[in-house]
Amino acid sequence: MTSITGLASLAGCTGYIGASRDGVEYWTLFGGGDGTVMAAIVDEINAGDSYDGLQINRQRVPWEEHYGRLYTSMVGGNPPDIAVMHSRMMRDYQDSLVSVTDEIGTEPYLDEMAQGGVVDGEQLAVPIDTHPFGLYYNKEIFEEAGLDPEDPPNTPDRFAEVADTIVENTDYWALDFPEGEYAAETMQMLLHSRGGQLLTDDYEPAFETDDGLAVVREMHDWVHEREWAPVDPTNGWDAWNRGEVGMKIEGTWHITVVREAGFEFGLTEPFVMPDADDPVTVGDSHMLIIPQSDDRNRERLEETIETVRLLSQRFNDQWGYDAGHLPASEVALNSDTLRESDTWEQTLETFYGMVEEEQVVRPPATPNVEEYTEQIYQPLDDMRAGNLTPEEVIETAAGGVTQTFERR
Amino acid sequence: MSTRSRTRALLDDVSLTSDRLRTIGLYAALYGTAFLFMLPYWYMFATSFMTRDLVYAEVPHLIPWDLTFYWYEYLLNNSLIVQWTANTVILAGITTLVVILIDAMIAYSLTRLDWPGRRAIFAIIVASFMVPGIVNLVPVYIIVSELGLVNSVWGVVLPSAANPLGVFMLVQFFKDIPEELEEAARLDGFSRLRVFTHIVLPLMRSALAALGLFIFIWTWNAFVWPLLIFQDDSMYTLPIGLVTLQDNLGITEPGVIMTSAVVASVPLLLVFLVMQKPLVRAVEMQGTTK
Repeated sequence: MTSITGLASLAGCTGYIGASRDGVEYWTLFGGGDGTVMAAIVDEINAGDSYDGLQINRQRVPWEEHYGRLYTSMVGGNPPDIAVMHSRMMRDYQDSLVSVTDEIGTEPYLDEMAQGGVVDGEQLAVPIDTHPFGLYYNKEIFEEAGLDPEDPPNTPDRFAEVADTIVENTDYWALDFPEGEYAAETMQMLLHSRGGQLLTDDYEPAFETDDGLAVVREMHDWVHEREWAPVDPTNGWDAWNRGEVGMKIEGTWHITVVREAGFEFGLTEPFVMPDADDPVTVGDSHMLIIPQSDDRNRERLEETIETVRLLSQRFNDQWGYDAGHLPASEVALNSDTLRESDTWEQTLETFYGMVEEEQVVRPPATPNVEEYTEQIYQPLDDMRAGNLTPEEVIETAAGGVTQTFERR
Repeated sequence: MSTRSRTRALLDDVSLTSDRLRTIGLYAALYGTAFLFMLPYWYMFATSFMTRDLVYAEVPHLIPWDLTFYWYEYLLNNSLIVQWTANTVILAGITTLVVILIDAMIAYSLTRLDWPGRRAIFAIIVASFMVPGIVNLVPVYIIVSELGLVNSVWGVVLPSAANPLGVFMLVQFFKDIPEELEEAARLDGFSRLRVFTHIVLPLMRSALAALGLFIFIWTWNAFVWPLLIFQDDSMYTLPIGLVTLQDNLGITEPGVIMTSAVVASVPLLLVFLVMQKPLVRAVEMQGTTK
């Protein structure tokens, strides 16, 4: 008993007993580079005199657990004031969110991004960015292969030509591409480029088509026919970090990693799918949501809305030039600080160009996002490992997606 | 004895008989297997001291030729790792003591006290093993939330206080204590509580130590429940805090992962080494009784 009392006292002294806190509770899933940037932004708001003493309690939630925890807290009546949510996840949560149509509106943001938070005419989420895929490339390998490092491939033919050249003229891999959920998004990107889509409006698989098969076969051939990319994605990741891969399909966030890797890099559009009439990239948005709560009074709600405004507008350019994501706010996008930054020159200008050309497609907001995505990426990963043929991938993934929505 | 015959005698002593060969083979196999089991741990430890170039090298290195403390500095400077370690020690310590106390009382009551329905209660406790913990997650969270224990250390400790594993394990041990001992104490005027605290608990020291070790390790590694209850970075435990450092949109830095694994596992290893003797004794006790 004495020991328990002793430990409890120690817990009390270290503040570990816990208690409710003043301030706006804000749950993020940002780690690594963008986590540090979000922490700096929140610290600046908390330290500043110009925000009426606004205090934000930022909390970093592990990526894999973010949505499970958010769901449980909402069911248990203990949600945060603000949480980060991907626009594709909106469907499962839309009935439990506070509308900010009148308080914030969609005008301050790029329309395509803002619409990701609008459901039935109500603005239920506010975008802070879009984070599409691009094609990063290693300029040093381009030079070694006899290619012009300032002339990256932005058409499927040029892409194939460059990849073959790298494989022929160097000892390096030509390409690496993501595994897991990003493999499913890569497939979606290639499919959209040929006018297809992953799901119908009724949540049926829409990739059991010639285009679907062509896309999966292309991803198969990158590894197993042309041998541009390694079988094991981990080897690909390690080789890219060692500067031994020519090109890599990755998102906006990758800039912090590639800077750390230390080689000269560039970025171009990921238009790599042959016979694509309308090449596009896929880009989801990080949105800020306000879960409904009986415990939140008017004053707290006003502080919460002010926090959303600050994070998505006033500090949105910093989110761009420091974290590498393309800001959602029109003002931030046109700010001199952003436009004159290294990040703009290195990556954001290309991403913004694709947004302006309407070449960025948002993943569909559906129920059961994580479940159905898993049904697609698991067979894709199996195919990369050499265990499935493209035809088997289509059949397995379509069956899995159908089952996922039937169970619902 | 001539030099020649002495040499022959010596050679006879070291000659490889079939028994000796078998022993050498056995030792080689056992040490080889032990080495294989150790290899991942060594790789984890060695990688935490490697430079980024070595970590990403094409050929895996087992020895950190180019030594660095960069990943440890990174963890210390970019995280609340000291706070998280203290939190984990406090949480695991409180949970262990509470579980031992509560479970010992439940087990004693189930084995020694005569009250209606105790068999049914014990059956329910044993049956609760069959229910996956994840099923209770939301209902228990709602109860804890209603009690105002979210963001409190008690929100984590109390739901695990009546631990079915602990009760089941202690019931088996309590059954082996001769009732005559208690009867003798009661004849000497001991109250039931005094019998429990002065006779039964001291006799159960090894079993309680074993249970304590299990609970300590289990709480140390607990992830989902503390993550739900603690809604503040500074209240996180080591497993949660370290995961927040490791992942970033699927991007992982092996140096950070391995270093955080070392930080999370070394204290547990030390606890195990300290508690090794009572743990083995408890297993022996259980193995030698009826």
